[in-house]
Amino acid sequence: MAVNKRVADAMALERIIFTGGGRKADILNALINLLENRPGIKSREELSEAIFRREELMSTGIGINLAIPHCRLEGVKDIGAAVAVCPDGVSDYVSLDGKPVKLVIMIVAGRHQQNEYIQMLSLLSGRLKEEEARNRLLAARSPEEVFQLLAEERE
Amino acid sequence: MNFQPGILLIFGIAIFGGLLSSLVFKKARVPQVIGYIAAGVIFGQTVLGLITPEDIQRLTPFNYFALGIIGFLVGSEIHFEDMKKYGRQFSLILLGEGLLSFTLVGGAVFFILYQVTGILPLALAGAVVFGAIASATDPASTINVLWEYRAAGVLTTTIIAIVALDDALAMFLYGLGTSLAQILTGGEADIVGELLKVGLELGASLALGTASGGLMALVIRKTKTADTLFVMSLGILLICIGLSVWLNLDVILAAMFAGVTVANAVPERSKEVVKQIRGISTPIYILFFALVGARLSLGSMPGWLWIIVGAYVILRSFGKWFGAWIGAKLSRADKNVARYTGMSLFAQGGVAIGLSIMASSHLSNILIEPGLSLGDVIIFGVTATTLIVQIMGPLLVKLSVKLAKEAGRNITVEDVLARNRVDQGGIREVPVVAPETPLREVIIRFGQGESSFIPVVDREGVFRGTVLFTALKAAFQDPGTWDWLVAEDFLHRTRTWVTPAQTQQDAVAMMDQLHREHLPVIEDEKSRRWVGMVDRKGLLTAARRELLPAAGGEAAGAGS
Repeated sequence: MAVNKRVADAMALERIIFTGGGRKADILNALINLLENRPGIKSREELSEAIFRREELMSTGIGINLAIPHCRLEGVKDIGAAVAVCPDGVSDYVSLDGKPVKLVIMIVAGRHQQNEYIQMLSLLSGRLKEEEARNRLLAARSPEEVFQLLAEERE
Repeated sequence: MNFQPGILLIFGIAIFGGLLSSLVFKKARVPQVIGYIAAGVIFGQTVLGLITPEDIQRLTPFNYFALGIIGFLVGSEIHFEDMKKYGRQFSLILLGEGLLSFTLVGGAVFFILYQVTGILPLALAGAVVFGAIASATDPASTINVLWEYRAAGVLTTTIIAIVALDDALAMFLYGLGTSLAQILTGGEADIVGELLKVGLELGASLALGTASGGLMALVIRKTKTADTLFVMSLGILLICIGLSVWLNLDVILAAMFAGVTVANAVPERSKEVVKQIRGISTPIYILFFALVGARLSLGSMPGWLWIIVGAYVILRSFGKWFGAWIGAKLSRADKNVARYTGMSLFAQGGVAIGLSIMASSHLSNILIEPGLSLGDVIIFGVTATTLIVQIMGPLLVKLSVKLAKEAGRNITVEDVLARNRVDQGGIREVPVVAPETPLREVIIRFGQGESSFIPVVDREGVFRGTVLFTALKAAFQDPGTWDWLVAEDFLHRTRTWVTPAQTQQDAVAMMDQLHREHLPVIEDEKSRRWVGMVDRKGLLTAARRELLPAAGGEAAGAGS
């Protein structure tokens, strides 16, 4: 199976968690914990502040059960991602289509990675537009499965 | 290779000494030209003898070059519109000052020479040559003072036009005078032939100058890069100067017509070339005037010649002043023009000295006393009077423009930009977006405007950065992202901005440096509160508009 290198590079098995359900702040904090030690991130506060500030501007629940909290930080060189699979839904995550958020993919990029950053957001959201792909992800039981489903190259 | 260290050393001494001396004179609020000439007098025959007549002889080509540059710059100040508007006024003033100084000086010289020699034809010959030379004014030092004090206005325009034109009048009177003198003193010359020769010379200078200027205008229209343009224009100017030397035409007049043609054929685009040529003119001026000073030799003159010198200076000055006044009154010119034009025309330089050198070769066979020809008398006389009026002249030009309140009025767009703060009419309100504005709306904003970026301002009014049009590229391909991405996701944190207290010149300089057309304006570095935007085009347009009332005021002044 072909792998999308860009997505694969951003992800890591240990940054994929399964929470069942939960509240938005808890899920975001759990993902921040997974990403805070990425090279270039100065402190947990910096990352946390940027992520929550972006949520204040507009919720990143983009609809179709998907949320992509994201931010750009000075000093970060490579895009990093962390994934939370929550089949039971995140109760207070506002989304564009009103449907509950069940999959949260957090993206942290460098301040100067403007294009790669937007491409990554567009790539992930595009991939999960297909209901089948979404359902397979939500049914996944291991980090390996999630990794594969997200990173596999589409024809 | 013909290497002449002597000449280069003279260049160095004259330029360095001239500038040094002018700085001393500037401290005493005396126009700098006088400093250049004074340095020349010190280095030349009169005092130190560092610069010998042979050196000056060897530097003749340089003098032509300098006269050409001066002529070109003078010509570029003459605009047909002014001529049309003030043509009658200019010609009446020109005839008034030229003819009156010719008549008064000629009369006095005739009287003195006749008393000394008792020979009527000789006295008459000397009189017409001195008279003709007296009618000339030195455009170079006069205009140098006008530039130094940034003069502008109806008086300044009049002075420029008169000094540019009265060399032609002087040459005409001179041609008439020398042929008359030669006929009267028994030489062979026919007056019609001589006049024809002078007419031909003036016509040919005019034709050569106009052709050179036309070629230059063509080059200006076709060439894009400023450097090429400058070098080509300088080349054409040198060819024009060289040709007029070779063809025995008047260098100043030819170069002047080149300047007139360029300035009127491509008024806007020639400004850059004129500016660049003016930029290289300072050392040339210094050297030229230092050499004028060095040429003067004030030691060996008979006593009665000093009487001629005294009479010449007094009567020429009176003739210029009163003649210009009569011309101005007859043409109902502005009262400042009537009062001050004449006293701004006292300087005499290149043309007068040139004519005196020509006269000395024409009239060297006419002896007044053993060892002293009429030619020598003319050379001595003109040299001495030049020194006196070159010191007096620039001072009076300065006084005139100060009294007429025209000093410091020649302001440029750059001056206005340097004077005005960014908040003095420079700031425009532009559409801004908030950090939370959805991408879809940001894209619509870009569609409505022409800017390549949109400022992002938060609810507190703080400027947070910009969204660059180029940053949206990645998002264009995926309209699915337009509803959930916001301006903040594309934020470009910029530190390039200006504050309202900075000058507009600072703003334009920063835009030049960044190759940008716009800049954000924030209240201050600390608060970063959003104020608006400045753009280069707007600033320049406003500055040009601000210059207009000055021109209007000038016209109103002319009527009062």
